[in-house]
Amino acid sequence: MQSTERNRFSFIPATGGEQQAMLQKIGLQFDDIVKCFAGNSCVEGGLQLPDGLTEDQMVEYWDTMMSRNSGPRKASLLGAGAYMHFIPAVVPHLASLPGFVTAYTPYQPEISQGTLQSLFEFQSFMVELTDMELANCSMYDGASSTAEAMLMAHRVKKADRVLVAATVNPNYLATVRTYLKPRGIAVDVVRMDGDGRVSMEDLELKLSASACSAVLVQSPNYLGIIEDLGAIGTAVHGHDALFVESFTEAMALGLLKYGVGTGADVVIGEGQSLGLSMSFGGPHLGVFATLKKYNREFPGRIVGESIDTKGRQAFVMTLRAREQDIRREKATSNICSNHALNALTAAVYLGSVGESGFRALACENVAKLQKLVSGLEATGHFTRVFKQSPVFNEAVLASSIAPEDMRSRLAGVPVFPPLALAGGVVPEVQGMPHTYLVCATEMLKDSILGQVLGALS
Amino acid sequence: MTLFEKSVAGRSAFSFGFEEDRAVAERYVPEFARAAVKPLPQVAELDLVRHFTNLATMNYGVDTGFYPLGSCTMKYNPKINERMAADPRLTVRHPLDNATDNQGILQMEFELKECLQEITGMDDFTLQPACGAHGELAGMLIIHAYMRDHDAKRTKVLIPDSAHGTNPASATMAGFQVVTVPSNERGGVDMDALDKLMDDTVAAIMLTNPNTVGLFEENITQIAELVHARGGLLYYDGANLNALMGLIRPGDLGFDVVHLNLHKTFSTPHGGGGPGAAPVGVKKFLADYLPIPVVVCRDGQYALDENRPHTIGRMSGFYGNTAVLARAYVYIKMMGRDGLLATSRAAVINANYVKALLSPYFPPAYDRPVMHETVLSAKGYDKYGVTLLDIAKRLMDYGYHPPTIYFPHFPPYAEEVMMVEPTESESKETMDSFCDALIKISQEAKENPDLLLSAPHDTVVTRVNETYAARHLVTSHRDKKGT
Repeated sequence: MQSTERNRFSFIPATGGEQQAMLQKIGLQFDDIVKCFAGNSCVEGGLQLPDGLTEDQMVEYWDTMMSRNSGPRKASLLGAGAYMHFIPAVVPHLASLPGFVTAYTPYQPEISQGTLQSLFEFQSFMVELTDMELANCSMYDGASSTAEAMLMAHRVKKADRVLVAATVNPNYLATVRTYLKPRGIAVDVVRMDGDGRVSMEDLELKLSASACSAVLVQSPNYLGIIEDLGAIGTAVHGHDALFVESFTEAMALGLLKYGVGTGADVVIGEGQSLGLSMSFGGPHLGVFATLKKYNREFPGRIVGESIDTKGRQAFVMTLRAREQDIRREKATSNICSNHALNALTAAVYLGSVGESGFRALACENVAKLQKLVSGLEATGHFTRVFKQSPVFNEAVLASSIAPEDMRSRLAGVPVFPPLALAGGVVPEVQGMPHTYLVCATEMLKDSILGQVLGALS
Repeated sequence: MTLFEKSVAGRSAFSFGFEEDRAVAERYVPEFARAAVKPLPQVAELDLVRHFTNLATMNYGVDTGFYPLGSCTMKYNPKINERMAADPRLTVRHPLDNATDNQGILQMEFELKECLQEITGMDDFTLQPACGAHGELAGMLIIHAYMRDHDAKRTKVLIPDSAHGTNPASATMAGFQVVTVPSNERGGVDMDALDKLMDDTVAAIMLTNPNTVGLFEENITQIAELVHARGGLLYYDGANLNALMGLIRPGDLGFDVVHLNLHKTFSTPHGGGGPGAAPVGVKKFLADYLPIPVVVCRDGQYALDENRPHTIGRMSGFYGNTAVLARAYVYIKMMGRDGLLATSRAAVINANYVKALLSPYFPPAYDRPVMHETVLSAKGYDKYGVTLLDIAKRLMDYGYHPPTIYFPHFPPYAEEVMMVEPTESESKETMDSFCDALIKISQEAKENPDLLLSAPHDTVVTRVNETYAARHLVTSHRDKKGT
């Protein structure tokens, strides 16, 4: 075989000779094809980008860049919407199988049963964990899922006003505002009570004031406190609004009650804790679960069980008439691609830890936080705010240590420092002017906890 | 059989150094909040591994074979992307940690932003949107906010009939009224219709260029002049940017806002339906409207800027799909200026090659050179009693993923059309074999239509009954138990 010039680009197989042969078959030169650009200004002299790197150069470049991040972390005192949990090796292994990774949306069910069945299993997990009747096969993240829940409530109830608890994660609240503002839907914030929970008094007041489409409550809330969802649900259903329960820490689903038992119409949240890494913010996993009576109104894709022509079990996307590719401007949402691979990852994770393991993890998170809080209180520099309120794996602590001091004291400990809350979020404690939202998960082993307490004593 | 049905009580793949401690729950979690046992599958680790490994084999992916799904740009996903994105220095980073402790990640994001600015000719970018439709929403919210500040009577958005369904859906979500613009006989925007519709109540026009028929919008300069002269803005749907890199830039064509699908043009894997990422670029006068925070560089230090006085707000909980952005970044760095140009060139040649091979059997509606994809008609096969769907299903027996079918659905495409996009990733012999298969199927349609009507035969399931799924709605294991 005669030797020819080697291709410069390993992701483009066609050789120069082959491209010439193809152009011959086409009957045009490349310049003839791009004549359609007509008088438009083409890129003169090419893009001002560097020459491409080879794979080994890329690895070196990447390595230098990533070494500018600070050292490895073994646990996190920082939560507030993203959580550091242990990810069993089997999870990324199975979620990286190329059959899953390199497939498109399963429009052709006969050759997409792997994706479809995995998503059906994810939906099944979500139905059980949220105790709802129907779960879609994912949204982008907890915040966008929350905003979509508000829009769905508006479709159902039509009132141009929603109530949002002040204790909802502020980034979620901001996302809700972004989505609702151009639609002219008002966002009314329900005050927090002295225990760091939704003020039932203010809720009743605002529910009675005028019609609203939804009431959004997060539990555990932004301050880590477990809300009495059942009591809130009862209050909401005295009025004509949908009760939307949300969570940012999916690990709480192992222990806490959500869904029909607490009067929810929609349960939404962030599924990152289910085997997904934090990855500096994404991609994470939006969970969206609701009741069957809203099966024409919810956003996003859903997989249903069916049969093939031989009567065998087969899965397929269903309830498609709500979606943008069919309904265009009348669709329930514009969402097309979602976070399917992350939904599959969550299904693998839940399959891995199993029924009792998931409960064990939830309990361990509660125990670790209690251990951290009592350890910090014992140093004399910290005291819990809202002492009487139940928490899951986050709590608010007042402290005499300023944020800069906190960071430098923890500099030698392999943990992410806790979130310093802005002034005015929680009531001030005499002599302890700084407040932190502190998180503990199963990652906070005793040896690391010892180092944390040593540094802060 | 689902994982739930494979469950055996007492089995477990759980390997942590602690056991369930009910006492903790009873002590610290109030009774009103405690849930009953949630019935999840109980399987051993090998059960789990075999279950999902077998499911993965029941899927067709780019790594399996040719995936000519028009408008989806199913190009090869380089493996180095995956390795870099799995780096614990990226995956084990908390998004609310200090910027000073995450300079490497922020540098990567900033450099990606700079590359995208250069490739598109835009002035600033947000990396926050999670997917194409999310990017469209962000872009249209930016236009909505800008018009509210400058010309509030502009409440309509013009969208060609050839557009993806996400365009009208996104414009509606952003608070606009959608007005459809018809296409002309050459597959582009009908200029007379545009002239009539473009009045002082129109905020913007959303265009995909090349459009969903794979054709470059010939009148783009005139469209831009007309829309701008009458006070409107131009939105660029970057779904088809793969045809244009290094050749022509949306920013130079007059577009004011663009979104890019990194999971299309920039090689990040589609994952069976996401996650993707869709950075949104704007011209300078709109930069203050970008969602917060925006990655910036000041005196060599990278930071997240929250100070954008006119910002539309937040689009998500944090700053976007960092691990997806990382894959696209690696791709761009490795392709470089010449590689990106070679990519678009190869994508265009490949699409025209497939068109040339298939035209005698499946004629294109417009006899014009195409860009990165071609729309071909399967009209006339109904006389043998077969539809395009049957042809598509039969392709699976030959080992191919079918092209996009029955899209775009606008005149003259109201009938049986398929949209083929080979991408630059495919070799000549792969396209030759694929075209041979389609040509053979066109013969089978005449000689043995039953072969097509009952296709596919060689897949793990045969045709799936969509009506049955909708009528007997079973969307979870709990539903199955109930029936």
